[in-house]
Amino acid sequence: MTSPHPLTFTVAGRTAKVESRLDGGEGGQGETYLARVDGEREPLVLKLFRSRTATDAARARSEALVRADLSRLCPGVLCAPRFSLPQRVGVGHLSPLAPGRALDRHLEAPTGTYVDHVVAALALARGVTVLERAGIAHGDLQSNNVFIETRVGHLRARLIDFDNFAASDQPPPPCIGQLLYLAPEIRRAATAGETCRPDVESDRFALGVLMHELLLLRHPAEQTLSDAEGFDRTMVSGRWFDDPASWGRDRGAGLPAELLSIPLMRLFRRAFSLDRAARPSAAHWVEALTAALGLMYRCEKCRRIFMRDVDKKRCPHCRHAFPGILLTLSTGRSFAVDQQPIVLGHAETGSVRDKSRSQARLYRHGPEILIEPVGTGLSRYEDGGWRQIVAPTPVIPGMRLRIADAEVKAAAL
Amino acid sequence: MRIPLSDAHKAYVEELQTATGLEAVRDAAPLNETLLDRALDLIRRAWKILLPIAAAVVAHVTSLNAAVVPPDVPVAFDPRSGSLSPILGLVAGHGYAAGGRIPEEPKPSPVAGHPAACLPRGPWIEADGRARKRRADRTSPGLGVATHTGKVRTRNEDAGAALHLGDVSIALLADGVGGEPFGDVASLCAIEAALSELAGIDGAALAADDGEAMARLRVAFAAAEVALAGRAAELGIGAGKPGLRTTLLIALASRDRIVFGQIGDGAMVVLRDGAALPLITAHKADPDRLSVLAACLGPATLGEPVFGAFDRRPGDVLIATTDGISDRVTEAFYTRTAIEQILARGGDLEGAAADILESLAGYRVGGEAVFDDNMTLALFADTGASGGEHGHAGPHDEETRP
Repeated sequence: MTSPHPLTFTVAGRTAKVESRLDGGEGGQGETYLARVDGEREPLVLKLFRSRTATDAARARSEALVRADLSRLCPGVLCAPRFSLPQRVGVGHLSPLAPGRALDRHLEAPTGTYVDHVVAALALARGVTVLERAGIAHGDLQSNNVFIETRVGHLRARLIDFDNFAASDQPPPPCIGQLLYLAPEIRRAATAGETCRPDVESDRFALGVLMHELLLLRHPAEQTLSDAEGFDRTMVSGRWFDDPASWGRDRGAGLPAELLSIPLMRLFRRAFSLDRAARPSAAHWVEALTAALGLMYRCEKCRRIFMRDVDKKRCPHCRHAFPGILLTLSTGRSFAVDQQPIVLGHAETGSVRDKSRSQARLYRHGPEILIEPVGTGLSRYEDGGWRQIVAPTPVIPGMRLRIADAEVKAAAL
Repeated sequence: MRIPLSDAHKAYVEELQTATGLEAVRDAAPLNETLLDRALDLIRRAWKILLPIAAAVVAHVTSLNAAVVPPDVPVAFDPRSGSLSPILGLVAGHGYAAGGRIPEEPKPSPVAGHPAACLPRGPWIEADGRARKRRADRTSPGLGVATHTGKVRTRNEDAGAALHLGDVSIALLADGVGGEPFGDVASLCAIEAALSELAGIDGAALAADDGEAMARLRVAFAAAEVALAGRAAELGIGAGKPGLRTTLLIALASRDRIVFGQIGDGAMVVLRDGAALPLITAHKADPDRLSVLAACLGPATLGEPVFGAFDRRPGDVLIATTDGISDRVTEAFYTRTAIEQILARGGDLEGAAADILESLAGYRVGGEAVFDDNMTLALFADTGASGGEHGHAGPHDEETRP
């Protein structure tokens, strides 16, 4: 360590000891060191601002961050400053250390399963939810500030570097953010040379980009990254270019957007909107990602994972069509159920005419074929007896059904 | 194969949940918060609760005192005459203007100028404010949409629209969620946004490709979601708060296919050979409480839209309704009443739809109106015309039978 500052000092009545300089610890605003503070189990990261950035405003902002105590509000995700430095040491702070590697490095050679990535995205969204509720914008949400740690059976995500945060009662942040994550309004203002500052809404745009990187393993404007003008146009278009409902989109690298659940697609459609108020909050992402964890489905052909929902009729990865079901009556007449819903009644099954005309509806719900009653008289054979079906039920090969008084057997189509 | 969460994932998710639980969020005070800030925050919160209540009370009183027809019926494009006409119906939301939440006049519809779109809302009104008697010679190219306030409610929170794109007919029906503020604004907002997305499409491409039609429907629903989210922000309605919610049904019918999207309740039924085939299941949260929805559009969409497609055969009739009808009728309404009205009108589907609603609105049992909600109805039928030309034949005339 070459810093002229002392190796040991006192913060909040406790002794802090600087141990070493961190690898790559020289950033735009200051330098980072590994430090130990008495009573803390884990080592902390000491950030020391350079003389040109070590202003009174920087000190005030740093102290405000410590007062907000974000790392205690969301431990394990927000690695925000815990202690500010005494005046004699300089301007800076001590924050929890984020192990692992930055998301941009992780994306170069991703490890872990798809479910791991969804859980990591959930962790990040939870962290930003806490920030939003505290009225604070991170101001520099980007893949260098998200750290991914590989643990046994899962990936952990942490958010670091809050030095560019924005809050209504604090001096403005020194930067506008990272080029790949700038919201359209900030990008336009910066191009026009106007004053602008990040806020919660611009954070939401950047969060959308990060979610895209975590869930689809690519930047939403990946195809235009090599073309500065094209990239700018894409980023201020207000549209989600990977939207499966869009025409002629270039799928590019990464995972197909079709694997996402409908609520997540919905959030991506709003995340890049020019209408700032339409962008989803972090809480929206938490809700959709939590729900998505219950929808994980593995394609039986290619073994890759996607989120099952009503719209999926093929595996989003290998495009293999999910198999249908063949229903066969005891008379030998059969009905195939695949992509289209069918309604069965006495005209189809030959059951007695005093029953209602329609008795069952069969339709595809993603990879599964469901059957639901339209009138009464729909049952399935289960555990040695006939049980009435009152709600949509998956039909699986081998299942025996009774539609009014006609018995039907299900087989794979 | 469904993949359950592993123990490691479960533990991490639980850890996150615990770490950012309610207690933590409640403690997340703004930076440098003072007692004055806290007091102001409390006042702001109280104001947010009291203002909608006051607005609702004022709106209710206003609607009781107001005439059914507001003095300023918005001018819109009449697709049949090809000229601007003051006859397209009511736009709701005036009541809430009295409460200060929608101070501006209703914005002109972005699709009102589309040559093939019409946006009916409420009873059809003449310029002098009287209900218009429909001309008997009006015919529709395969589709008729009508909406009615009913005779119990004072405001129509439903909205409907019809759109013809070459050989493809599209109907949009929305039912603003009642009992909450801005249901009428929501239904119109959703219809306008969806219609804007659909209005610029080449009908021939839609008719030729199921996938394209389905994708367009998805985009239309997404547009409605975005529009509602934006409107919610303008009105100060948060995601978890009541208000500005609506159902949305869109049916797109070409000569041999029906593609549809749905969120919320209502019905879509195909009449084939005298039988009623339901295409959708109403998104009801509780079968015993029909007014509670399991899915709808709003500031944050509840549930998910459902999409599907169905083969259309010659002679098929497609009927789409909001819950004001579907929750109160039996199968006979579709198989008999609707068909009789279409035949009586000689294939004038728009006239038939309006007649049906008028007769339902007047239907009483023991002095009580049975159809006590707003109603919107769309009728699709092969009226014997080709290429979008107007025809006069009924759907069950000999020429159109299979």
